Amino acid sequence: MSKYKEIQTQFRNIDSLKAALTKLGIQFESAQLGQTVTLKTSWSGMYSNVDREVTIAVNRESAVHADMGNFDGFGFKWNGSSLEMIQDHLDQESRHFERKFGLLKQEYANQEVRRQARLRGYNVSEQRRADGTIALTLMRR
Amino acid sequence: MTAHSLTIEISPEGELKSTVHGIAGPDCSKISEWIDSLGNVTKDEKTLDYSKPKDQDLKIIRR
Repeated sequence: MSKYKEIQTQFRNIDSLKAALTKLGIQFESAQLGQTVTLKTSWSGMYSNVDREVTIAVNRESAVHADMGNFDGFGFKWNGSSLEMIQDHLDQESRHFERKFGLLKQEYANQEVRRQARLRGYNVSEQRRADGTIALTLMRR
Repeated sequence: MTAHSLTIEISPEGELKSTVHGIAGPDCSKISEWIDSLGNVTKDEKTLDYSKPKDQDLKIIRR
């Protein structure tokens, strides 16, 4: 081993994020390049909440089904360097949210590593460990 | 390019740990550069193998 790195995953590639949402069975609507879709809030008119324009929108029904929402759906908006999650703060406090959001980040990273590995000509093998870790081995000869 | 491999572990919290095997020196940094695009790099360390000559295969024997 000659180099060791630790990285906090950020959503930077929209195709890998869409692939991760699909893999986890989360239905979404996504905007064309340079456009937005509307993330509707069920709190409209209350507490100054308004609908949001986002790049990817997961409606309330899909968010509830995925255990990532209760009061509202959630979305992702491009902030210039990554896709930032937009969500009602009350939903972020739900007991399932943190674990589910971690699994979404894990699947995104899995998809993005595989995409980058394909571009660079690596063969990829995967091992799922008992603690839930995904171990990928990328080989090039 | 020399034969090499990368191991990438992704935790259920979505954090990554990567290691490069089978290649030393600056080539190793180039090979693992793209991994930085996956997020914020919180640790980036060279191991002892980083500095070894290309034709040297180190073995540690404990007695």
